Amino acid sequence: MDKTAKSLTKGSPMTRRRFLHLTGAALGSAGVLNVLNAWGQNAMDGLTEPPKWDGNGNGTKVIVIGTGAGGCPAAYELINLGYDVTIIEARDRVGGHVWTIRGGSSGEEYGKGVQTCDWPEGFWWDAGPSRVPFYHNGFFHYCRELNVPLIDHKNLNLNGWVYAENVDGELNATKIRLHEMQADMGGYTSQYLAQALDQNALDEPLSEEDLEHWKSYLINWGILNANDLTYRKSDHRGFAVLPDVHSPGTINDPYPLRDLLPFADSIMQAAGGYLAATATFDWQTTMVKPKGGMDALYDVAFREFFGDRLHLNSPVTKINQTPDDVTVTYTDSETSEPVEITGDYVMCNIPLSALLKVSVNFDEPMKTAIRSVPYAMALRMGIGFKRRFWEEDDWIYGGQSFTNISQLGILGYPDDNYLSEGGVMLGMYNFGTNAAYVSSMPYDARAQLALSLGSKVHPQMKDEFISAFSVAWHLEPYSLGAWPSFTAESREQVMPILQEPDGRIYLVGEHLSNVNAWMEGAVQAAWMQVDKLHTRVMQS
Amino acid sequence: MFQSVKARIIALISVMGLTAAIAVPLLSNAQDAATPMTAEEQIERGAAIYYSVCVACHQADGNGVPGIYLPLNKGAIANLDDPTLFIYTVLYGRGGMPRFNTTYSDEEIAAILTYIRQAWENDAGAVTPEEVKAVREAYSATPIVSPTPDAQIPEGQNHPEERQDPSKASTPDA
Ligand SMILES: Cc1cc2nc3c(=O)[nH]c(=O)nc-3n(C[C@H](O)[C@H](O)[C@H](O)COP(=O)(O)OP(=O)(O)OC[C@H]3O[C@@H](n4cnc5c(N)ncnc54)[C@H](O)[C@@H]3O)c2cc1C
Ligand code: HEC
Repeated sequence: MDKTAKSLTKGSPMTRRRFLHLTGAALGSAGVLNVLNAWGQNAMDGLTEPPKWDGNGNGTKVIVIGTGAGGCPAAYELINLGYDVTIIEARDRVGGHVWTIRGGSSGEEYGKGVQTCDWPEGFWWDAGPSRVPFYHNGFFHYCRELNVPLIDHKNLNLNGWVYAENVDGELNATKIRLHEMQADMGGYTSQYLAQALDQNALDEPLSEEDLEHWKSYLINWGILNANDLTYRKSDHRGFAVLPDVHSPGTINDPYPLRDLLPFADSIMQAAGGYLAATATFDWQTTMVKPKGGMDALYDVAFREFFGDRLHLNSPVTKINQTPDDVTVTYTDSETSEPVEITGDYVMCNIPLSALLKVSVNFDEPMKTAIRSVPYAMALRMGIGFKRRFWEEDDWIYGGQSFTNISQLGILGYPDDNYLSEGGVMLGMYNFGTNAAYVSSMPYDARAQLALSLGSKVHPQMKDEFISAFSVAWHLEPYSLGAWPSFTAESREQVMPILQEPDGRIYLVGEHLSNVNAWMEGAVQAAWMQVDKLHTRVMQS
Repeated sequence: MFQSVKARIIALISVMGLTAAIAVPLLSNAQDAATPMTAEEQIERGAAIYYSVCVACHQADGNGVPGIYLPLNKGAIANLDDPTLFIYTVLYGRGGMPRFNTTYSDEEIAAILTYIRQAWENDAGAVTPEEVKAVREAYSATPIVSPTPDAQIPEGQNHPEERQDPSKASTPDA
């Protein structure tokens, strides 16, 4: 179809509409749809569910090591295919990087001692993954299979704050609303572009018709005066006095361009990843998540399904394979003694960073591939507050606020239980050297830093503070990093090696996928590896 | 000379603690590449980065966390006469060791390594930005071909068999 589309249009002055009309007439409306697909108009092909497998594993023994977003679906499918599955997990919970924090949760980062969460009943916050894009159908597949209810994740809330400091202009160290910045920047940008178009000042061969469409679009998009093409204030940017029963309200004047430019530029540089990230393909609305925390799928649903096949608190220290079988050594949670179990195959979900700490008799190419992937640093902090001041005082229901303070990053608000008593805010989210620096502090000092930085946006923070829980993923045992940081070259060289079994050992996890740093990558890797293993067993 | 600067920095760090106030300038990588650092500046800048970034994992005494964050003190790869492997590891990382190739300039990497090579009980020569540049370029397009044949790695540093049981490796309060 793609080919047809190209050869038909090549070199001909045919417009797209005319072409569709012609092919539609010939092929019927299904023909039109296919052609649109070929042109990328509606191209949403991709994995949406596991392959349909034939045959039965007939008790072939598979040891699944790790219960992350990759290990869980792998174990689930293998169990359903009739394999004899034993699941070994180092931690006291199912989920790996998926970790929902509530009162009573506790953790121990390397070198930092124990921290225990003392938030009141009903508070919850995701320390790892917290949101799922609309096209991650593998994740949704298991939510459907295991009856996990989903809610909205509001990535973008235009009533959130933007705060920038150390910038030129009058807006330095002030907070403004996202809708103000968006309306004003859109307005000014439209104004200058529309005026340039009007004077034919663009170095583009545009027809009279093109120009009119573009100008008209900008007038409506930027809210311009149709007569002189200047940006006029509108209620898009919000009100100084809200409309009420007595008056229609008053709209504030836009910020002067000279003050807004350095501010907005700094926000886009510092938080560009985020701000853009509210509207990109991955981060666009609507995002979703399980109700009550990401662990509803893992530490509740999968855990229940696995039953007594699952061994928690059992860190694996050694994997030894022979031509005939593979033996896994783990430390028993109760006796602290090493235990050996032998199976036909291993499905190993351990992140490459933590896998370097396990003794495995891999072949050289696999060893080299594993060593060549470094992991990234990231730190997230949830802060429990007595009162939902962001809702009560600031009228922010879910979503995020953005700052140019690199140690602070963004602030995120809970998406449920609005106007209830208290709740948890994402109070810090940083990466790289900022994450390293903050993580070098004791837990308490991290929280104090987050409060003093966050107070620039929400001065209420210090008064309403209950306690914080921070997770530096690069200091977490059994994670040793946030996510693998491939380069285009390393991906090309390493991926083919990681994706193939090394003898009887199959790796599984997000690190085998091109859906980088998303749970979906791990789900798809699980399907791929189960498919390889099952095909092999069926053939032998 | 090294000693006195080092002593000054340690004093500075212990007096101020790792406060946000000093961390901001420390974390910026805006090093003026035009003016090469003096030996003193190298040590100062290197220590500043070490105690705000590397310290999170390798700890203030350079001994790391046994079996997990490998030691940079004593007998570690930091002390090899040929700094290639050391430079490579800091630029391109490995597992839980992040890569810093996009964070730091050649001058800064040289400064960090020079600091480490004379810190604590270490005693090895300075590293130059030119040496860093050479390693950066040699391996930039072929990340999987790391200069890490096991033979080069000092005993007990990187053989999984020699590592401690990860479940027992946590050292609270290190
Ligand atoms: C801060 C942060 C935010 C993120 N946000 C999102 C998001 O919003 N949405 C999204 O989809 N993704 C997000 N991700 C990515 C997502 O978390 C990962 O892609 C996914 O969870 C990885 O799953 P995995 O199975 O590959 O690895 P893991 O989850 O790491 O699973 C590995 C498992 O192996 C176990 N293990 C390790 N060592 C041993 C051992 N020696 N013995 C036995 N078991 C062991 C671990 O305990 C764990 O259970 C985020 C990640 C981070 C760090
Ligand atoms: C997020 C934690 C973390 C940070 C921050 C970190 N490292 Fe590492 N580093 C590690 C881990 C983990 C290893 C061991 C990798 C492995 O498992 O083989 C390591 C290994 C190394 C090694 C190799 C040691 C050997 O014997 O092979 C060097 C050299 C090193 N780090 C230097 C540094 C320097 C310099 C910095 C600061 C710029 C730094 N590291 C920051 C975690 C970290």
